[in-house]
Amino acid sequence: MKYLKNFGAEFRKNKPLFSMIAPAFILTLVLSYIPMVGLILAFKEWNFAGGVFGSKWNGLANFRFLFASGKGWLITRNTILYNLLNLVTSQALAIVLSIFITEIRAKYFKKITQSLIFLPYFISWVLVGIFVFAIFNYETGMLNNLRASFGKEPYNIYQVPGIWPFLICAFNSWKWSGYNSVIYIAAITGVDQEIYEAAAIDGANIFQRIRHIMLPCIRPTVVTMLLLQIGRILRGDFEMFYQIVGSNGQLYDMTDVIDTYVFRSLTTSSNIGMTTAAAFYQSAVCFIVIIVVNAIVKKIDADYALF
Amino acid sequence: MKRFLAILLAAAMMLSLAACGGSGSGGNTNKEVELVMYFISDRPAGQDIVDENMNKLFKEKLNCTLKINWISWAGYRDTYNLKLSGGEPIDLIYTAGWLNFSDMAQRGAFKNLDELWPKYAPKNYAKATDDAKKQATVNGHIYCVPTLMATYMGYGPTYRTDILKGTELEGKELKNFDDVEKYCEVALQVHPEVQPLNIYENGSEWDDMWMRSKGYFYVDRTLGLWFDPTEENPKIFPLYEEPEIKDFLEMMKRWNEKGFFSKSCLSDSDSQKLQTGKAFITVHNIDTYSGRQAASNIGQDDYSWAFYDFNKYAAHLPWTQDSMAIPASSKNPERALQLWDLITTDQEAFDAFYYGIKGTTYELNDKGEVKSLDPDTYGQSGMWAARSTGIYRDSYGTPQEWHDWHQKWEEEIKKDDTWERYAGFVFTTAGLETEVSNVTDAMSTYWKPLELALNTNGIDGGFKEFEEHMKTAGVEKLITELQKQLDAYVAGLK
Repeated sequence: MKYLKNFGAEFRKNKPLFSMIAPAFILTLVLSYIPMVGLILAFKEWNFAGGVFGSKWNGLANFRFLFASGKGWLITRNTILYNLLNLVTSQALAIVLSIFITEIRAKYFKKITQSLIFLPYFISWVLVGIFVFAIFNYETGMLNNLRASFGKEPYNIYQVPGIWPFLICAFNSWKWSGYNSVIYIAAITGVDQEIYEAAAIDGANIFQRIRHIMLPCIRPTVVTMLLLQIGRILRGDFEMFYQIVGSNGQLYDMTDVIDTYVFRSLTTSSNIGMTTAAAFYQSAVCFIVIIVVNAIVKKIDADYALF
Repeated sequence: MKRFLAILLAAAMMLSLAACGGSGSGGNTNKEVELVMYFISDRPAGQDIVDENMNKLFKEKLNCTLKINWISWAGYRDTYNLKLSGGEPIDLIYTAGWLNFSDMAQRGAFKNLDELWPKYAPKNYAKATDDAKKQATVNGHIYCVPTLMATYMGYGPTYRTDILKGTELEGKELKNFDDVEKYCEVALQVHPEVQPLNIYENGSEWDDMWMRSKGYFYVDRTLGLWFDPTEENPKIFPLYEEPEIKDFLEMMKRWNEKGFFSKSCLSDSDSQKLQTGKAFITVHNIDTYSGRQAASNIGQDDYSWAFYDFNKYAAHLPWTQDSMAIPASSKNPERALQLWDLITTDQEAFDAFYYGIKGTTYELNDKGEVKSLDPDTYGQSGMWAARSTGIYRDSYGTPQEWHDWHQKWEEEIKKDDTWERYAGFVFTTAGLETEVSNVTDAMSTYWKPLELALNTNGIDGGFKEFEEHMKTAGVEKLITELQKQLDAYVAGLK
């Protein structure tokens, strides 16, 4: 009751501020919170007459398909490892790129480079999938043509599952680092130029300026980006995996993530309960991961934590 | 203005109330209704004029109009489910075995048609076969109106014959797997740059073909479950228990080594290889053949094609493979069925619904065959369940062989019902969702590469791995449950 009273007073005092936050608040409520009610479907045996609320409860039966055959752990592991690898590589590359780009002095060269690096972001995974196949196709692919011209035997990369995590990671970086670098460039440009100049006058060389001024200055941005990405750690980039790996069973052990597994094993059935169960599992683990990581960040430096 | 609207509304309400009160039975067409239909397809650009044309006819005959909505192929499964679970009233919807008809019916998605179908779509009901009605039945009640068009299980290679000119195979038919192997060898001699077998990421269907050529009948192909219909009480078995399956794998390994298909085919998304001359032979139903040959006959390309049925027996495909169901949300099931009766049994109504406007969207030749005048604006309807033998039109250039094979199958079915007696077997996997999804996954992860000899651990290693994963996936439980259903079906046959 006390809180409500306080809120009322607060509201009267700051009407304009409340009215400004209202649209965002309502949108989040409608688009993110209300749909969460649907998660109860994960514990129900769906039927059309009963709908979301009237269907029968069936405990954890919908989750069984993820773990009954032992695949659940494999795909969870893959998803987490892929996300960690992609997180580190694409962010690290983005930071390096943004430093390079801000240090380039020739204006046109800088603009052109930046645009070219940004370009892959606009290329859909469908097209990337076609590139990948054009490169690695056993009979007519670029790689094997090249090998043939050096007199080497053709190489079937589709039978070497171990290579694929690196390939996928490389394509992921290629696509995202240009995009991510924009955020870092903005952060770097935000750093007061006078500090650099002062450092330069004091005799700091370029590497020292980067190491001691630029990097510490963009640290909050880096941490925020990492936290945002970690929140998605159990969400495989479905498009990417699906387009690059396709339905190539040979590679599944190394490339299957939760999203692709769910997509594949549920294509022949259309059980809403089971898909919801998979989504629920992903969300629950993501939630735990982000809480833990945020707590760790908070412990190290409370200023950088998301909440 | 406001007052005028209010009066108008009131008047409309009075009218509709009067109509409702007066009719009593829903079969009365005094009240104009708009029926909503959903099927899976993308909306053609030229749909508006087609709508206008057919609705004129429907209005005149049944005092109703039809509003068609499309569920696009992108993400169709989810959208389909959502449409059925949302509150929007839908009167007619496409359904089929591949859309989990029986499972959906069990979950209450559709209206029970036991009485409605014969009463409001009597002509359609009279034309439907007993098998069709049996297949439309789930737990003792009818939940859909199956197509009236007979289709057959006939399956086999469709292959280019023009490339055989001047070779030893010129004019020869491919009647078995050895012939196919020979064909591929010859094709590779003539066109070494082309891998003759049409195999891409969907995998190969030669395993099914092999099983079917031996006379086995499938319970479900994606689950790899079969039985031998010549047995008195057939027992369902998984693919890996077929005693000679390793011979098949040896053959595929040989085909792989000889370069009949690409070693990276499972990542190849090109499904148009036949059309573009990047493959010469595929295994599929006869419609693939007639489609390709018709394209050549009307001059789209200069290929020529042949087809041969590799199945050991002939049978109809389940009639429910294309069906129409009335969703539980429908407010006008009676009128919907009346309209369906009209569309599926009246040539004029069917033409208007399916092909559009004569002279604008389609034309006919003197054989009554149809050709779309501008396929980019309007081709044919995607509501395949509306097709019905006698009313459905063949396309221009449909080869004579297509008719010949159909006639042959019809005759064979009359002589030998080894497969046909099982055509009505419908099973349900309700309560087995976990096993179904895990077995589906095991099939695509382990069988698909193994079948094409693309796995890294050889035939024996791959086979053992496949068998183990099928077992962990719960295939045995699945078989036990399905066996009960098959036993009940067999008992019903006697």
